[in-house]
Order: sequence, then C-alpha cells, then structure tokens
Amino acid sequence: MASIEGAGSSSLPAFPKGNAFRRRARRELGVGYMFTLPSVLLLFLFTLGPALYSLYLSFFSWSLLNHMHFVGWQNFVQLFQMPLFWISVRNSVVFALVVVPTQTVVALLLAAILNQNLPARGFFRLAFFFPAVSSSAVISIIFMWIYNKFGLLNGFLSVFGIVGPDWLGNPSFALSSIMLLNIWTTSGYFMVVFLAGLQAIPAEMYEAAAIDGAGRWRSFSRITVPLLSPSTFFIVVMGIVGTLQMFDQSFIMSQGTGGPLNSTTTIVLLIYQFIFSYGQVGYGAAATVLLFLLILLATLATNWWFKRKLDYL
Amino acid sequence: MKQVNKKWTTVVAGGACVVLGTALVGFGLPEQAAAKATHAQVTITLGGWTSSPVEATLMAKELTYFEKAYPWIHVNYRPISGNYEAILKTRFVAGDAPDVIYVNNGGQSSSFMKNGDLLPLNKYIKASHFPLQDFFPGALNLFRYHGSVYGIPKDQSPLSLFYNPVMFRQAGIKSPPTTWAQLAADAHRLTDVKVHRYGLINSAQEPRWAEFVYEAGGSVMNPAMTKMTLNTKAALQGFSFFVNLYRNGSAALPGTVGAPWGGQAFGMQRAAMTLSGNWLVPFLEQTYPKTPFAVVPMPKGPKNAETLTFPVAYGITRDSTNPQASWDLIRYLTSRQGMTKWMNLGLALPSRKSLLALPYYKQHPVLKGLLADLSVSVPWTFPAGFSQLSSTTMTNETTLAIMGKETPAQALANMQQGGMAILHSGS
Repeated sequence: MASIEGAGSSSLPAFPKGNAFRRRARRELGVGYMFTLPSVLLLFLFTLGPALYSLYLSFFSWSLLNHMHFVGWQNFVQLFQMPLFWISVRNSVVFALVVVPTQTVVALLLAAILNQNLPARGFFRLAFFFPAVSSSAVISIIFMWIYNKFGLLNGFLSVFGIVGPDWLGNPSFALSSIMLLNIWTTSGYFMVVFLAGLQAIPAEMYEAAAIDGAGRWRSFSRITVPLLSPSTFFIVVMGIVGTLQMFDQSFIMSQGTGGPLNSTTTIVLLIYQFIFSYGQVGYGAAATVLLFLLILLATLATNWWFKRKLDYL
Repeated sequence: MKQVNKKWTTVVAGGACVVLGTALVGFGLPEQAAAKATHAQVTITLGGWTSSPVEATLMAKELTYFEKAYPWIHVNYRPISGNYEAILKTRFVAGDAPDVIYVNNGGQSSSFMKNGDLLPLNKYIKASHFPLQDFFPGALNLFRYHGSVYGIPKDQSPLSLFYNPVMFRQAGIKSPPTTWAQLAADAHRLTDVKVHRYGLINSAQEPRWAEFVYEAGGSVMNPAMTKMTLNTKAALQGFSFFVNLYRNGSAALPGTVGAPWGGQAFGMQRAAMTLSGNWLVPFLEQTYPKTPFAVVPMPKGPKNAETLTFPVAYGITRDSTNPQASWDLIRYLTSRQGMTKWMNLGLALPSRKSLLALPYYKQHPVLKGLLADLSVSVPWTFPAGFSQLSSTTMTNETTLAIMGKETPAQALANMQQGGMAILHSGS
C-alpha cells in the first residue's frame, strides 16, 4: 500500500485498468479532500459557522450580557413593525438602485476609453484603479473633509457662486454624498474587469464590422456591449452584493449613528447598532437573515435576467 | 562526562542558594515576610478608555506607585481603544473582561449592574473600612443598584459654559451671561452669519438640552427612573428655550460651521459660547492654543441653577479572578491621595468633595466655573435598555425640532412615548 505522500510522487503506472483505476481514483479523491481540508475548515469556522449561528440567534432574545431565551418568530414580527428597519431597507435598496447602474456604466465608459491607444494610458488606469486598493476608512475620512461645510467641494462650488450645503449634516444630501463616494471608489475596480473583458474580444469582429460599414458607436453598441455581457453579469452581481452590504462608509461618515435623521442607516449599520450598541442581538440576527434573503433574491433575479441574453459565444 | 556533571551540580546548588536566599531575605524583613506569607503574587488587568496618549502615560506612572505600595500585585494596564463599551461587551461575552474597568455614565453602566457583570463592592467597602461620605452623593448613586455599590467614582466633569472673552469684548458685552435671558441676548448679539459665527454651538444630543429642563424645574425621568417626565410644562419650557436659540438663528449645530462637535467649533472660533465639560480644557490648550476661553457656571434658569455631570467609576468585573487585589487597586486610586495625584493631571474634576480645595485649582483658575457647577449638578444616566432612545431617538427628535419639522411639544411627546414604551416592555 502506497502512502498518501507517495501517491503524488510515485511514478505513474502507464494504463491503470479496472479495480486498480478505481482504487487510484478514490485515493486521489481522498488526497484532494486532504488538500482542501484547511480551507474547508476555515470556511466552516469563520463563514458558514457564524452564518448558521446568526440564523439560530434570530430566534432568541439576547442582549449579549443576559441569558438568551427562545422567542420563536418574535424578532421577525417586531422587525417588520419597526419603522427604523424599513428606513434602513429603503436606504440600502435606493443606494443599490443608484450605485449599481451608475458604477457599471462609468466603469464601462472608462474601460472603453482606456482601451484605446491614448497617451499616458497606464497612468490613468492606475489613477482610476487606485481607490479600489486604498483603505475604505481612509477614503471615507478624506471625503468627510471634502464634504465639509467649508470643504473642497463647497469651495469649488463657490467659484460658480453656489453656496453648498453641509453635505453629510443635511438629511437630504447625506446618502447621495455616500453614493458618489462609493461610485468613485468601485468604478475603478470594475473598469479593470471590463478591460480584461475587452482584451478578450477578437479584433477581427471590429474589422468585419468596419468592412460592413459600421461606425464607432454601432460597433460599440452591437459588438462591445453584448460581448462584454459575462463581465457585466459579474459586475452587476458583485455590485448588488456589495451595495446591499454597505456599512463602513456610512459608519465612518455618520460617526456610527446612521444620521442625520437615520438618512444613512443601511441594513448592515442597523444590524451593527442592534447587536453592539443597543443590546438587541435577536433583532440584529433576524435582520441578517432578511438581508441574506434580499441579496439571494436580487442575485437570482439578475441571474435569470442575464441568462436569457448572456453571450458566452 | 565529568564536566557536564559538575555543571549540573553547580546549577542545582545555585538554585538551592537562590531559594534559600529568598527565604532568608524573607525572614530578615518582617513586613515583606508578612506580605509574602499572606499574599501570593497576583496579576490583575485594568481596562479603560484614554482621552489621549498623555492620559495613558500618566496612568501607567500612577500604577507604578501602586505596585510599590502593594508589591505582590502586578497591574497590566490595557486601555481599550475604539468603541469602549461595545468592545467591553464582547469581552464579557468571551468571559475575558479585565479585572478592573472604567464604568461610564449613561445607559450601559445600568445594563452592566443589572446583568451582574459587575461585582457588588459592599463587602469590600465594609471589610476595609472605606469611607464613602466624602464622595458626591449624586456621583456615587449613579453606581448603586438595588442597594449595592458597583463602582467607586474616580472623577467627573460637569457641563459649564465656555465663552470667548475676546468676542464678548468686541461685541461690547461686559460679563458672561448668568441668566437665560442674558444667554439668549448675548447669543443673538454675538451671531454674525456673514462670517459664519454663532452665539452658541452645540450638538442636538440630549445631554446638551436636559440641563435647561432641570433649570426650568423639570426632569427627564423621575428619581427612581420608573417614569419619563418629559410631559411636564417645565420640561417643555426648558426644551423650547434650547430649541428656540436654534430656531431664531443665534445657535447652530456643529456641522453648520464644518465642525464635528461643539467644542471644536468653539476652538475654530466659529462659536462665541459652547456648553461643555472639563475635557474641552486640555483639548483647547493642545489643539487650539490661540483661542481665548473662560468658563463660568451654567446660566441660572427660571427655577434652579443646575447642570449635568458625567461621573466615571472603577468597578470590578464578574470575570475577575482576583477581586481582592482588584479592590486594593480601586481603593488606592480613589483614596484621597490617589485621587489627588489624578486630579493634579487636570484631566477631570474630583468625585470627592474634600478635593475641591486642592492647591491645583488655585493655580488653574480657569476651572473655577466648572468646580462651582459640581455642587448643583445632576449625574447623567438612563436605565438599562435605553441606549437606542438616548443615543439615536432623542437626537433625531431634537434635530427635527431644531429644523422646525416638529414643534418642541411634539418632539418631547415622542421621546416621552418612546421611553415609556421601553419601561412598559420591562427590558
């Protein structure tokens, strides 16, 4: 019997047949599981485990400090009757509805432009990608200064004689300000995804279209956009998941309050507040389960919609 | 082989010598011998927040004095940075809270006492004959629950009126306000929207308007904290006075001048006045050394001269493995001498009445206004389960009233209702 260690390094038998082949296949399967075991363990310990635990917690009343007791569906019932929960759902959904299409279009345009033979193309690619690799906390703090009543943005607007508001202190502007910041930080990353997709489109397509008399706009809308749909699918799904889970920018820019007047309270920020500030772990866990369902449904809907028109070639 | 053996014996002999030596030294010094006989070496952990790196350094120094007085106790000082109470809660869940912690005023300390996360100190207070009469009763009561004491107040900061004497002189105002009417008139006169300067800048949080409610003869809750009392005429009078300062333009929220809090707006010289605690003094000295400031007691209201105070205590957690050593540390730090040392750092004001006469306060007359407010201050607190109401709901309602989207009466009614709902649910 060869040891597991031997399986990989021993010389391969030329044509294993019948039982020997099956035994070997089974052994390789075992080795495969052994190799993935550390990752699977980590996945269970830090991702699936906590996810299942929060499902469990959503049926309990617990303040972190007292003894938890089972309350059945009570947390969900309470949550559905809570105006603050619906405010957070509205904020998160509006955020996703504005940010996902905008960042996708901006990323596509940036990619299309930077795919041309422009001078200093590398510099611009780096500049647009830079926010994606910087710390979200640092960027949020910098934007707090930009959005300050006497900050850079209002200074710029005053050149045109516009007196800008206190962007983050005004309930009508706070969420839009965070949307703008979010679009700016994520577009660069998705631009790189689109750029990779653009490289994969064969040049002959464009040549053929040019011969047939297609102009630039037509080859963009009829060749580039459809052939990019696998990338677009990835970007839209990642965008939906990311925006519905937005927490850090709201947390930092509202200093943890979700204010002014709950205008920046997203679902995840509310979950954080329930669990760590208000001592209502059950509500937080129930909201986590509902957020999971929301993201699941949104992703399935996107999947269904794209499947009908996905051009994998 | 032989050499190795030799070395081995030397080591053994040496070790024996050390043991014997320790024993001899121990017998030679009766005091230490007694200490060693009754006390095994213990290590305890102290957790708290720090207002600045300076505070952490000074605290560490204070602890070296303690370790000299109690050589068998070693203190690991582990300040918690970030959201102190949220992190502390996770440490409680993990069963790994520090032995001694800072217990803050406000909603969470009530939860800690109610849930048994803190040890009752009565037994230790009695055993060590630790007198409590010298502590401000209000500050001490904040850390009492069902007759037990759960924390010994380490210090406190009352809210007083900080004002900019240069702005006052330029506006031709001779002295700082001592009544509501003067406060409103001065705030109006000092406001100049063209240069983005306001008479008073404070945030819309509850502990910036509750003092007006108390001064009008009202209260936020009854003393037993079983009822909300914001539905009284007095409460409405106090709250309306605060809101009207904003409505008529002589007060503003910090964001209006691009500041995150009132104290910073004052430092930026965008506010002629702000209501703040002692913590603003070191902040102004370090961050805005060019901003002139003076502090006077809270202007008198129609009924009372009252303000809020924010006491902080030391408590022992239920996770402590050495409650006795923890108590020794608390007793040392809150003793007259221990607190005197702490007060001489100027970070906060004493929780002991006798320390109001410290020479330090003669050398720092700027603190006079704050010290005067200590005797007329109501400790700021809420019962367990009130964190969401006190931190978010009340701020939102106040903001709506300031924006004119709700009348002060509506805002108070919503707060009253929110508080009563929590009390009825019994959480």
